[in-house]
Amino acid sequence: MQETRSVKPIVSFQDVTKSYGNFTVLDHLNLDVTPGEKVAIIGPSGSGKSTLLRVLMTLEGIDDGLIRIEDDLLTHMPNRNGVLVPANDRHIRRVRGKIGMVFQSFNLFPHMTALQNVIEAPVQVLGMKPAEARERAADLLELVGLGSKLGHYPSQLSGGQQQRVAIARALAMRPKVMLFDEVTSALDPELCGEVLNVIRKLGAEHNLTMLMVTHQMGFAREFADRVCFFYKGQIHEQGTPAQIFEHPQQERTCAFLSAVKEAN
Amino acid sequence: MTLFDWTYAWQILPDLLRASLNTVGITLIGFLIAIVLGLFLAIGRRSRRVWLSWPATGVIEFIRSTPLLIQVYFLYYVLPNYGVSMTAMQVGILGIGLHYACYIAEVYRGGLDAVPRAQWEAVTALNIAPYSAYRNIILPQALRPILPPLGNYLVAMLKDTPVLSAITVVEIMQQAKNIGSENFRYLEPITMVGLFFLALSIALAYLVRRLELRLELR
Repeated sequence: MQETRSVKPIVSFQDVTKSYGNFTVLDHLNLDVTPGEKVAIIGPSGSGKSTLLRVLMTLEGIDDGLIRIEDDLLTHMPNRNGVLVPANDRHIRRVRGKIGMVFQSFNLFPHMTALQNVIEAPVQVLGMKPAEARERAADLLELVGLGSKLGHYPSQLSGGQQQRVAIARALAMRPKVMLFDEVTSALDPELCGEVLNVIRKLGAEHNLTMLMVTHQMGFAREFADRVCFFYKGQIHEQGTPAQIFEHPQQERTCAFLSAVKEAN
Repeated sequence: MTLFDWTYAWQILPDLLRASLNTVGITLIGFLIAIVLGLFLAIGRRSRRVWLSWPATGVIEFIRSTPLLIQVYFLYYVLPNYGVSMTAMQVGILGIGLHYACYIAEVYRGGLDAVPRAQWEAVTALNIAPYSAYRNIILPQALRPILPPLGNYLVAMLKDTPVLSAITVVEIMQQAKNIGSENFRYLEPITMVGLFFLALSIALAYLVRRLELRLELR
């Protein structure tokens, strides 16, 4: 169903398999994402949605298959003879630097202010001068609407504000691909909007590639270029939001979407 | 014969105080060794690299499972046979520091384990290297809850320094024994040593408590 793309993918999963014991979370998964594309990932719990993001961020390893970020393999590297071997830390760190992630539970550093949270990695990892990092961090926090909260600790911020700090923190590393793992699931409903607005803004103003696991069907429909429905560790059905939400072809997709509709 | 001879006590006080400086010095330097070395042992033990985690685990378990007295004997009387000779004081400080490093390593490990895994995930997602991660993110969070047990070990270490008298280190207890055997009167020197430990232990516990409160305010 998919036409051959002329653009080279920025992220590419080839036959990726991962299991926990007997349970196969990712089952020979194939997925190509083109630069700038916004991909929404939906599906029932346990279908491997979050695992897809987690293996891409190298929070978890894979059992089989290859993951490619631009021209580099993520979990493997060629040795001197050109044979693929498991990647060493240095290789992983270099390739991983192109990816940023925002978590469901924010995961801010609790002993640092909003500003320090955003400055830390650019200074430590990119070797940026503290003054420059500070300036950029302030700009990023301004971008996510927290210009007045620079000196606040996470415990002094609402969930929505914490999540926006987390987005600024990830952006500070200048990733090419941003992963959003159910970023509004831990938030009270009235706080989701401010976070989604920030993501909308990023989508409009930056040419970031985004992969988001989400339960916000409305947001997926309006924001994504493509929607992937996950089932049993595979992409069961994918297409434009209009195709998936209005004319789903697969029975599982229909069942999932109507179950979600009922819950809302 | 009086029950407690105040004149005698007054006479021997300067000698005891001089020896007490050794006790305090051994404790402070030994504890410094213990908290630094203990941290490395704890991080080593937690490492994914087997060549690091196994030796660290081995050292910790071996030293924790044998008495301090035997360890310092070994260091002082056996090592010179192999060309390593140190003064009694050096051996004492090193031995007690090493011994407590292993206990403190386990305290660190508890504190490090208590930092949520999500913090490590954030560290990975931001590509922060292990060294910076420990220094700036993980340790500051691990340290606060382990201050009370660290304080405990400081006091325990202070009270263990008399063990070093076995290898001829003249700390306060050894001095008291010397004084007692010279004068055939032990009540006063031993009582004074007991009071010294009591006072110093309480003072140290108080200082640790102050430190805890200061860190809590942040």
